[in-house]
Amino acid sequence: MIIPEGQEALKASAPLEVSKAKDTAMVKKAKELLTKPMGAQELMSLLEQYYVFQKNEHYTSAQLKAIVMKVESDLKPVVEVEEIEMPQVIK
Amino acid sequence: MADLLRGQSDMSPQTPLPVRRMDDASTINTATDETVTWFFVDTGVWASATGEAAGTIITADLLYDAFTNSMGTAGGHSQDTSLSLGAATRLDALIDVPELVFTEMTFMSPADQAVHIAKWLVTNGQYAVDHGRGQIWGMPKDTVADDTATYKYRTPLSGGGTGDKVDLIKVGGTSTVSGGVAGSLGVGGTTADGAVDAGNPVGIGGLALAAQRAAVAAAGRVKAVFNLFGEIVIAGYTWATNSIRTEEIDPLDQKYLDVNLADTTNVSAATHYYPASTGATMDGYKDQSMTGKFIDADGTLTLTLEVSNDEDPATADWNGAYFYDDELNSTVSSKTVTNGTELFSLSVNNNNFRLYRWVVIASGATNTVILKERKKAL
Repeated sequence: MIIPEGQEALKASAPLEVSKAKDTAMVKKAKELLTKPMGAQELMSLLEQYYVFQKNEHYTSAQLKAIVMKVESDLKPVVEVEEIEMPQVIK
Repeated sequence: MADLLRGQSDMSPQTPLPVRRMDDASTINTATDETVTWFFVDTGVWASATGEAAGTIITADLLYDAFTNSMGTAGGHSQDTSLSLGAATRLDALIDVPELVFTEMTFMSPADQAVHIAKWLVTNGQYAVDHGRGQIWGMPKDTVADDTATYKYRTPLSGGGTGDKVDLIKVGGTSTVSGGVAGSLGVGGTTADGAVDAGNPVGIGGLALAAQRAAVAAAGRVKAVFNLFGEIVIAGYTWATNSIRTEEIDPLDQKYLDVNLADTTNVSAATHYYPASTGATMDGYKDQSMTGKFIDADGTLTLTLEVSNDEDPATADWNGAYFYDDELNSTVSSKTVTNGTELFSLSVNNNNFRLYRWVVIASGATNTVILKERKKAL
């Protein structure tokens, strides 16, 4: 690419940074969009569509996946494991 | 004068004057535990003495003559000989018999020889050695049976090289062949390529088998293996079908390349080339496909394909090419999204162009561009 004198080369792309506050907000929004059981890919798509068409903000697949992973982790049911009684060994 | 003539009593038509050559080297070899087969005179002729009683005059001719002394430096004699018998069962006393006696006996009949040597062999167990002629005479103290003898003998050397190389003129009475490569003409023959088979080609021996043989231990020696039709078997042979398996290294059907061309957002409002403005080669590949996604809420994203056969990608003349939209089941020249989302699945089968590049034109700088490419060789 030859750049005219006095001009700077355009960055090919400039993905948005996701700050900590934005991350928290996106996780919250993702939970709101989760109105029924769905797969991670479907939730990523809903989140992507929301931010693109409501906020005009584009996030990469990796960024969206990270948000959805946090949602999945937050909402994962806690399974309490009962203490298992070990059988006595008869000597 | 007496010293000059010493030993020259050997001179006769049967035993010429022994001459020690000083212009040629020789080496000393050892015959170890050579079987000694005894003979005796039976009605005037030599016959096997095995089983004859003690006290019978017996004789044996060993394989080599000119037995040396114990050091191998000169011809042996009764006082210093390299010859020893394996056991003292029958003969245990070596006596001295003048060399002249042995020479005289070369003119005698077998019966007379036995009578003549008996003048010296007077006690059972005595034996005498004719070192020059390689012959042993004896009067055993036990029933005659084969003995063994160990002795040294001199082997002439020729050829001028170091070591103990010997030029053989005959083997087993047959003249050796000195032609060909390293004298191998007699083995390989002189039959020309394409001529009727002749000569003495070397046969390759092996095991004729109907199934694969059991494995031997590592580092064990193995023989060549043939099938029952005499066809040599090599690794990869399938016994059930008498065929040879072949293996394709790096087979074409396993040769493919998955490339993440783009998975980003907010590409600038410009024309972008993937994987690069200089394109990528299709060398080694036949088909390619593309899946991806365009999202643009306030503008347009357009995807096209350009190809070139130019030898220099930097200065190539690029031109557009149609590709197949597998979602729409139709041939298209571009994929476009305006104010929306567009997922696509495209293919370019039989792409016989040298170079290609995907072209993305973005009208704005807020967008999502995902391009996942796959190329395969078969």
